[in-house]
Amino acid sequence: MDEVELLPDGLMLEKGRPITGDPLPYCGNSTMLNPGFTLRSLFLLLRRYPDLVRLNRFFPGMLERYDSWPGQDCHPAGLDWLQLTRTVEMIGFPGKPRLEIYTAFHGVAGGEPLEIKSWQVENLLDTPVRLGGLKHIVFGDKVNVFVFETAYTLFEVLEGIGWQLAFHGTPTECSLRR
Amino acid sequence: MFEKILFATTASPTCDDAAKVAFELSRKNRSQLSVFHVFGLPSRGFGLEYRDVRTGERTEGDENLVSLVKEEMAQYYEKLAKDHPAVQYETLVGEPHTEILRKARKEDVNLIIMGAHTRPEDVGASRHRAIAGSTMQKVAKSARCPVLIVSRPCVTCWSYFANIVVATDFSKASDYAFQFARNVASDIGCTLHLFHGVDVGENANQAFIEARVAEAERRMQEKYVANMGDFDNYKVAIREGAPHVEVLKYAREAKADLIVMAHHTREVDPEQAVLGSTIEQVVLRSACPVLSVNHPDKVDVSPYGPGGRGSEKAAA
Repeated sequence: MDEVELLPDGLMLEKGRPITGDPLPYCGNSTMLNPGFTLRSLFLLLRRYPDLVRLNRFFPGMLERYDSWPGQDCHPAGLDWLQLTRTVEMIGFPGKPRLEIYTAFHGVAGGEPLEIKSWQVENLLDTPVRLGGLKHIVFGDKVNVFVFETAYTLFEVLEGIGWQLAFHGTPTECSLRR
Repeated sequence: MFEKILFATTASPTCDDAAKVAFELSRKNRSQLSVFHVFGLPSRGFGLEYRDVRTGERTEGDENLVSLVKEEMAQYYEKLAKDHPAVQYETLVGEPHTEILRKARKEDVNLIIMGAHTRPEDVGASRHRAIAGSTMQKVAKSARCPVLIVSRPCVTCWSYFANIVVATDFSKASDYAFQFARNVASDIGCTLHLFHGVDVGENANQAFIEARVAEAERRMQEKYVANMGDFDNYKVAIREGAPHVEVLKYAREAKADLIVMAHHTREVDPEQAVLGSTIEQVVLRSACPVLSVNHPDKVDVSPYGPGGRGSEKAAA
């Protein structure tokens, strides 16, 4: 499968060569994140390839705010890295038996997954991003979860991360009247 | 403001944020608070057996089990209920959304409070499960009274709200949402933001967009500004773009404490309105509580009361 490398400065490489033109033909390529790739790298990538911004309705708003965010040291204490994980889950009840496949973007702290909704995006910018494995859950059995190696396309990476970041755009404070 | 509040809960940590709002709001308003929990699905109309909603296993749901669950629920909320001795607990075996709606109708409640999720999710899994088939969706879709959905911690409780955003699509149901929001804003004394997102699609030219925005401004004035009565603490905002994205963006900018919306317009079949509607998208992502209004019932909160000032005009 064709591969695309994402560099920390937001540049994409295919077979070692920088991609300078239309990025859309590479959306189906499997993705490799180079060491040092952080959430900030993702915003740099969106800046560099504006066509990719259209993949998520919340990207334009986040990019508008990006310039007002701090330029460094945005890594919450206790959060080791951010990770994209794919889950395949067989569900038998309620409803008809079904198979759900979804990606989730979450934090990892001490080896355990962590919900990141409580952090604003600007506070996560310098946290490393990694691509995780595939979890296979059978009929709600959370004890015997199988984990497999897997690959993510560029589209899955951007769409999966974009989905999660859309949860982080609401008020940073409650303005008390009294 | 609300004489009767129904807090529909799973009595588990997934509803803790909603529980805090429910107890605080009912305490401040001296409301009659009912804490209501429905578990299992009855296998036969009058049978004692029920199916566990998570495992599908059949279990006998006799009176002892129901009272045991009720006792557990009372213990779970013991701390929150300390300043609220009149709180009533009730548990039932049944289909959750049916029983919640039935109870709300029977008791003629003024407000239903719920969490957005009824069961703990895997980290990040909310993207699928929070959208499809939740009890909250079914209740919000069909309830005749306003439904307050709390999915994140809400540190400013109701009486301290500074900004309420009412998002309208100019439908009849939106008129009711507006009436409710205006009455609450007036009662609390906070700013009301009237918001409309103009969905112009992908390939609209500038002239078309400007015409749509001008039309929205005209309707905003006619439908809502003209019906403000003597309430003058309001702002009007119109943005172009995908409505749910713009509502969330505006809520952030306006530091909204509450978003009020209609669940669906009359033009849309309620069955089709469940998935992907603007309010579902907003509830899923909003950091502040979202209030769903679909009917004129219970929109007249104190001090307006039924037939109060300005309430009848907007509905006209």
